[in-house]
Amino acid sequence: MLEEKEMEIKDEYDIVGARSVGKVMAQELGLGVVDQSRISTAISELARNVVLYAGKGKIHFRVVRRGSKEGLEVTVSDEGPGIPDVELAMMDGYTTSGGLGVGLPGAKRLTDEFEIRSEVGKGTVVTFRKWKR
Amino acid sequence: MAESKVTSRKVLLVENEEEAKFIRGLFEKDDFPWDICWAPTLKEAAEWLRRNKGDRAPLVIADYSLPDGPGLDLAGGVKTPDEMDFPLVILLGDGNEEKAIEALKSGALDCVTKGEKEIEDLPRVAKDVLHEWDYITERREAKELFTALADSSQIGIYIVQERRIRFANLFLQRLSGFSEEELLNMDSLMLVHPEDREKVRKNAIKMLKGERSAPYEFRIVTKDGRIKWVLESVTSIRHQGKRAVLGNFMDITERKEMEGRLKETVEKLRKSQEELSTPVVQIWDRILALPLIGIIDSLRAQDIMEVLLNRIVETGSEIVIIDITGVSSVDTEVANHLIKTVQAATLLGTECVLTGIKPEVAQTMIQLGLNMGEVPTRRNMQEGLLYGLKKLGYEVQKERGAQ
Amino acid sequence: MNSSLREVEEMQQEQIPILKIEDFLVTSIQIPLHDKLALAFQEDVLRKIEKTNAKGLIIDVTALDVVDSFITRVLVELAAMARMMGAKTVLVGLRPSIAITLVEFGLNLRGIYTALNLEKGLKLLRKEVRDSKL
Repeated sequence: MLEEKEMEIKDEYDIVGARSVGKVMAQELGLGVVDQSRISTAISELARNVVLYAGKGKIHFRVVRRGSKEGLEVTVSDEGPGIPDVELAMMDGYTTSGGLGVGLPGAKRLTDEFEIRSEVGKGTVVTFRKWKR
Repeated sequence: MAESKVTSRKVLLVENEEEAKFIRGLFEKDDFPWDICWAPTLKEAAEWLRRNKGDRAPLVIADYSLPDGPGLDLAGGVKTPDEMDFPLVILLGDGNEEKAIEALKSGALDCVTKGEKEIEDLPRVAKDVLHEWDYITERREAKELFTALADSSQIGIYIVQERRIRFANLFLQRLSGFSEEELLNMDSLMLVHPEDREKVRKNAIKMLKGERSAPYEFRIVTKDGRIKWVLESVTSIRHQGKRAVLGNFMDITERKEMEGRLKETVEKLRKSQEELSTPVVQIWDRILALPLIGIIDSLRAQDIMEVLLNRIVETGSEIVIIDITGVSSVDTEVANHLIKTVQAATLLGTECVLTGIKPEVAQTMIQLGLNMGEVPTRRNMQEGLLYGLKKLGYEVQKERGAQ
Repeated sequence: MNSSLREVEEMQQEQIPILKIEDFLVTSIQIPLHDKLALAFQEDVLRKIEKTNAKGLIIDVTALDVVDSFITRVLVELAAMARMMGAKTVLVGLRPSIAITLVEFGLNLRGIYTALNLEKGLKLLRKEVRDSKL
């Protein structure tokens, strides 16, 4: 079983690639179809943000364990413009539904744990985790 | 370095009477508490040694040639002092180098020639030999203790040096099915299941570097091809002067098997419970009914949603009647799950009807500000069915004359 | 994997195939729709609606295993544009896991009808056309 992987994100094709890796790792962990879908979609959103706003970035996959729990941790990072008001970006309603890639609150809803750090001019790091039930 | 205890040390002189008297004199002049004993022949010396067995090993000083045989016979044919039961010094009649070498290669710790000067040094030589003997004994005892411990252990113990197995205890031999000879000098990863080798290598390195303290699991393949699970820890040691790895592991095969079976059972139980707790019934062509009963927590709500949606796709149902008459309590969480389920079903292209909303539940939902949206509701399952049939284009009429 | 996707895309002179059934168009999305492909797809569909005067469009998404905000926007936009040209859009074959993800994420497919499969999708469009004629 793949325990860790890192990939570069610089274009649409990489978004698809990242989704696949996330799906495969989730599958190997024994996560169900719906959880796989949640993870792929969250990855798609976050990776798309990177391509749209930062041009390029990285995605890091890791199998994590906490006690007897097992799960997948995904970190998407870039050195892009950063988000000026993270709180605002994370508020529901900030995203127009069916809207433009920002999708952060949506991605948060799909995951069990969600952390975001961003600094204007420096970049953004988003980490999420999905645990096996 | 331990200091020799100043208790008397027994010395057995195996010499003729005259020489023995002279040598005894030498020792008595020395201020160390020597306890000198004497035997003139091989036979008597052997007898004495047998009688005094169990006491601390005496220092035996024997002439190279005795009336009834060579003094070296007392050594019993060994090749190194390590194998001796007592420290031995050989006395040579002349400075014969060959004899000296022979003596040292037969277990003697030293040789002294009975020429004038050298023989007077005998007590000092004796002390030096005893020092060395004490050291040999300590090392031997430590090794015996380790082996005894290792072999009686219910834990596999091994030493790997330069990637080869240098020591493998009985438990490891039994578990792997390989003999000691087969294990010695085997490549350290040979026993490990090919799929686990990389993982084991990585974890071992981490542990040796101090980056990992938790033991790690992996599979080994026995001589007859069976798979066993083990839980291992490793540590750095020095073995025969060079760096080596000491590993110890437990056989957790049984535990793993039980874990596996437990998982299977739990999974089976969960599946059947899922089916029981989400009783989706096809009550008409293209109409599904889902009578919910009992407590609906997050986990169950999740399962219900998945099962229902899959059944919708399987059966091609266009109407789903969700009856909540039997649901214990409807709070915000449950209501939200219901809404989610209805929305997802609608997204698939199916219409949902909610039935069995009790007055209290209706109240709660209004008070909580919950909006069930444009979801049609009916009083009970029958009315829900009527709604569904009409939606599908059926006309429902009572037969003339029926009640 | 990336290079083979690019190859497939370059091969797509005919892009995503669009068929005509009765008064309607039927198409199936089998590969991930990125930027250029999505735009080309939308154009192809709209052009064909004009050419055939189709009253409805059925998009089969059985093969889609991820529907994120991007593809949602592509579909919603397409449906809106198709509507302006007199055609209704029906999505068929949406996977249950995708439906759940869409609801949880908070995306909605505005202006798009849905049906369980092609047959039901056609039934729905036929009914819509009948009703709109009344």
